[in-house]
Amino acid sequence: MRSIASALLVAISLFLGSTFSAPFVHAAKKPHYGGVLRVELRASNVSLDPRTWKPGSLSFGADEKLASLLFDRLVELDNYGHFQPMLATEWSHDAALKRWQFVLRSNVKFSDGSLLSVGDVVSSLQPLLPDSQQISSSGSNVIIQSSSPIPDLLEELSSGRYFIYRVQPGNSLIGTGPFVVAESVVNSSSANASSSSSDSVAKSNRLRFIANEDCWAGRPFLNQIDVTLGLPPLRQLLDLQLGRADLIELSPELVRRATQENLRVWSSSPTTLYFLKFDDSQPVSSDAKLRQVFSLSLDRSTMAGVLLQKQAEPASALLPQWLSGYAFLFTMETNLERAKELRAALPLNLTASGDPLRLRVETSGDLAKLLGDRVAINVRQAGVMLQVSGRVQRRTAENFSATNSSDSPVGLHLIGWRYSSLSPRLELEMLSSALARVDASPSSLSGSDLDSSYSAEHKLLEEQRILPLIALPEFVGISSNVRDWMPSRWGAWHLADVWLDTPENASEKSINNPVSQQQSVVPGAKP
Amino acid sequence: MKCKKSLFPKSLRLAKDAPRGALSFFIFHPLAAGNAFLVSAFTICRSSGRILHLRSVLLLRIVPVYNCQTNFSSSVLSRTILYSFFLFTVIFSSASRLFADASDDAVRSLAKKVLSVSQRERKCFLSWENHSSLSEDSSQLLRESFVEAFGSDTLTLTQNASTPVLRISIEETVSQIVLTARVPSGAEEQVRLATFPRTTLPAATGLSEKLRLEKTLLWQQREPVVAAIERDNNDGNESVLLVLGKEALSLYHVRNGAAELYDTKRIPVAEKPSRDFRGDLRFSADRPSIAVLTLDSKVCDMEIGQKLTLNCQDKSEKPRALNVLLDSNCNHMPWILRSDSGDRSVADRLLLRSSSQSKTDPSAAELEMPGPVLALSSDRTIFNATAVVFNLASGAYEVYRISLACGN
Repeated sequence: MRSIASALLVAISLFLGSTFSAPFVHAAKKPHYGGVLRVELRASNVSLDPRTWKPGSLSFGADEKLASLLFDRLVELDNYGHFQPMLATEWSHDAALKRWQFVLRSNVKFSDGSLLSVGDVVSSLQPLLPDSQQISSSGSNVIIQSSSPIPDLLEELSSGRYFIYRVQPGNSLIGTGPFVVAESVVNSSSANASSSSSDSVAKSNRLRFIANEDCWAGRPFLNQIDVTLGLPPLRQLLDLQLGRADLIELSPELVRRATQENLRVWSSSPTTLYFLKFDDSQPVSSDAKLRQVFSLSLDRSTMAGVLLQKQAEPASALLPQWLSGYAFLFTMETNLERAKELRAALPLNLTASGDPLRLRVETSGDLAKLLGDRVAINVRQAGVMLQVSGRVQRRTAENFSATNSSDSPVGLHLIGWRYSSLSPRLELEMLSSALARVDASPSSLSGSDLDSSYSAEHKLLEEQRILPLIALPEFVGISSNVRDWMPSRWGAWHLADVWLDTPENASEKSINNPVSQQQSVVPGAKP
Repeated sequence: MKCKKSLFPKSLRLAKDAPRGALSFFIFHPLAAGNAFLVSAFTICRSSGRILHLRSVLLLRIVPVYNCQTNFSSSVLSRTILYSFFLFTVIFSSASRLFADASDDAVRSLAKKVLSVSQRERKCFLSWENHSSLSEDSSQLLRESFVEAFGSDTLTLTQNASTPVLRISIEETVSQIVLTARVPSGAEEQVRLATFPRTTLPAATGLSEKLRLEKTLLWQQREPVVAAIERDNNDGNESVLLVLGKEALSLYHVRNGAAELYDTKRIPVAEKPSRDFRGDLRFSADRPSIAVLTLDSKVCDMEIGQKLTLNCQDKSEKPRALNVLLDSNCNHMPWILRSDSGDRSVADRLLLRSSSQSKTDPSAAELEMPGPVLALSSDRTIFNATAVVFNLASGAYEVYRISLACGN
């Protein structure tokens, strides 16, 4: 009877424990420590310094993914909508939501062994926070104060650039994350440059991250992550098929092929928006009817369904539904007949010089060029001649709308915008601020609630100076031996929780990983 | 049993540290070893509206001093049940209350915003839609709160062409539940929004409390079953069951839980035997009496009556994935039922998710199966699914009816 009672108690305890820890328990296999995860990325260079990242730039995603191996944030949003304590263990705010207080986790060490202090948090976030938010310290607490309510501060701090780091002499950064940079290698140079800091990796073709044995959240399962940069999509797919890579970035046109070949493919929620922006410095863009012709002639469904083989979504809003919750309220009508009627009422030559209108593709990559060509085809059907050109030099999102005086006039820009914040307010502020460089778009929202975000977005879209085209998710090809792949739907990979199911791991565990029994029982334990 | 050592001082220390406005819970439950207590302290902070932030969880192993010998088994059993009940009551009732507070605030705020819209139509028809993971019951509770706050005299019960429609929609973002209101205002619509945190949803209970997967054994045999499908005959008393083996297809009629064989037909055999033989059964979407059998390189149509008549053609179609659509009588929402696709030496679970949930989201309901799920199918009514399972304990191939049940 006693044994039955004990067994029952164990069962109940386990059940209760599982109720509050993880909804899914992998009963088949236990996580292994060890192994090298081979990652291949399209980006030819990355920056691991959050201070240098430009909001909206397409490189933001890769930069953030790799930086999250080195750095932690104060809080993190999980897939169930819960904010999880990271470097901050507690937080509170005043009734007006203007003053937030964070209690720092104690005994957290940087990768060089030094202790994390509130001063580090303040100096990390100071250059990253918007001007309206001031950060200071009080004892072991960090205070963020704002002149207006910031109900979404946790969303803000759990995404984007808001990592905690320490600047070392020489301007290199160190973090408290699960990995440290062991080496960066420049392929193009005969003399390989090696570095252990994160500042000099921007031009590297290969990066090697090794496990941070003393990570506060527990040593990651993987011994090492090898990242190869600048590989074309097809080469990445081949490497995955041949077992030369474990994790690759799949381009949308290869997703169907990868799926048909039974490769593991993961897709995020839409993370990148492609849109058209009329250049307000050009007189032609002031014609509301012309803008309406463009809006009515754009066939977004074909762009998403045919051009991108159903791997993208037609976009009617600037922010995606998963971020704002109100994107469905915006609709973009396609009506070619009406567009033709409106075009017929316009002058034959839209530009004063009689030249065709010019669309400049501001974002690098074949996809943006394809979309530009499709836009030209769509508007041509309505009777508008559009010449597509690409940028000679890649521009960042920050200055995409600035017109170089040496360039010939451009009527429209095609822009790719990578979402980087989990706060709809902040994302919209960053986007409108980037757009506001040449026109009078609102650079800040009138309030901090969702109504203000909606109003601002509505205002940005109603004049049709900005025309959303498609929203594109991220696609990842994953080798079959990658386990506990639990990314966020907004694209965070969480590689510290990933483990490799390979036979070598069993032997490596005893040789390379002197991890305690407790660690193996609670793998990747988080607070 | 009487214990000398008090556990409360430690617990009280935690309570003292908790911020103002926090709710702290201390749960004592006996450790399985029988000589210690596990003390779990939960502090639930109402921080920034993120209500269910678990501030501290303390697990203490305290060895109590007993001054009496007791019958461990019976006392521990009763205590276990009591403590477990207490834990569930405390946690879930608190979560529900916090959810009610947060959502009610949001609904009232939305009603206030809608009422403040200038040139608002005085009387309108309320259209209420839920596109979030909120359960339909919770959604209806919110609707009632909204009507109460809005004033039922300004709403009409019937919709006609002349009645403007006030559209309320519940949406979900990564961190928030968003209530959107499209308010008729003259010839236009005004949009008003209100939010409350997703975290206030009772953990994984918004859906699963009211939905339950049930399985009913329909058939079992030693010979391999590749696929099976059941179709209700609409009279509720009898159903037709098709069972595909490696060599034959059998037609059964199921009455009162007993299956009776009506007909068996040999199926076209592939030239090369395969260890991974696959087949798929489904009912024709447009002709209810026609079933379609898909084999490796053949597709067969068959008329379902007292006998089976197969009409096969050479055609290559890929077998479907192990997931099917399932409808619920509880809330008339479409659900996706899939197995968790373990390897064939491991028992699977059937997982239920709404079409809006991602694969990483917790499932709304789960059902343990006695072995790997080899095939899943659903008939045209999609109120039931049929699962083929290899029973790891008995070594038999079993066919189950899987249905969604309402209530607890």
